[in-house]
Amino acid sequence: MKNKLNTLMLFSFIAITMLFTACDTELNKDNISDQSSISRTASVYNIDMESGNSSYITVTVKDFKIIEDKITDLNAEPFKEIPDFVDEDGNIKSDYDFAVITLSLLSETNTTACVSGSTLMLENNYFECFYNDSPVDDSNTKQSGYVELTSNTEKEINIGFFINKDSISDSSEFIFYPQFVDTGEEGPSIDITDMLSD
Amino acid sequence: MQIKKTLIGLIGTVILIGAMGVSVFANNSSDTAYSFKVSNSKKYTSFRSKLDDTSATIKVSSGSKVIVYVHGSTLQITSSDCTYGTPKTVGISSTYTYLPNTVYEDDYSYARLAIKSATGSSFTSSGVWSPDSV
Repeated sequence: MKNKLNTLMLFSFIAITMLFTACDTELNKDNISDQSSISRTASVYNIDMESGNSSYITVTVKDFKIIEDKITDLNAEPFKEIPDFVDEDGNIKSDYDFAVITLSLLSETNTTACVSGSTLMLENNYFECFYNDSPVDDSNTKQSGYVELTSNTEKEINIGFFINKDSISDSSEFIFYPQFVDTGEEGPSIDITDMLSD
Repeated sequence: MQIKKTLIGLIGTVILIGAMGVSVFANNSSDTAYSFKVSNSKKYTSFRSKLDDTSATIKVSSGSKVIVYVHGSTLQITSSDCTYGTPKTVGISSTYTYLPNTVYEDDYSYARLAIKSATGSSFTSSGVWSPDSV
């Protein structure tokens, strides 16, 4: 009788353990599902400074990566113009890395958006955009932050940020704030932490 | 395996740089846009890095005349007025107005504009500005 009771208790223990394991697995699956459904898209207010027309632009983060050290070895010349971040040989100074975010921009109307108002936040430090690979007028420094958009035509661009190495190593999250017009109010944000590959 | 990963990373970097073109913003003279309601009290833009001792610039595209101050900051929390001389009164224009300031000389790393109405009434002011100039 005692042996039967022990066996029953053992089976009960195994069954309960299996049940908890199954629930835990289900929970993890839910978490993974939530992770993959994190929105990388935001609707961002814009004013075309030429026409004065306002609209919203759909911004989607496609990629996020951090380049260390070697960027200027390959294309040094333009980076020499920003001496706070780049030395006289064109190399990024040892305290900094260069973060690149690939964006998709979609507007319902023809417009021009100023992407250089966007910021990247790491542990409460904000870093401003210093690079845009699709400027309206490459020869005009004042307009180097502007991107021209054609209605209902997706445009992919890369923008760049110089970030302190310490900030990167200390940061557990990376939040991107897309902004075309500074309205004095905080705009939308996109958590891009888990996009950063090792 | 490690060599393969390094090689893939290097190739990726080369492709990325090759696609980048040449538009890095020289000092910090690229424009950013602003648009907000101004009144008799100062309204502030976001902070931007001040990279040299050149004047800040502003070009107002809509609204009435505004008075513009240049502030300096270290931690991007509070800021001090670093306007050099009399604050500029700026109206709608197709050209830039230069805003002399001592932000860089005072060892501040960041600048922002403080803008208020020059007419006494409230209105929305829009335009572009930069912390440095060419």
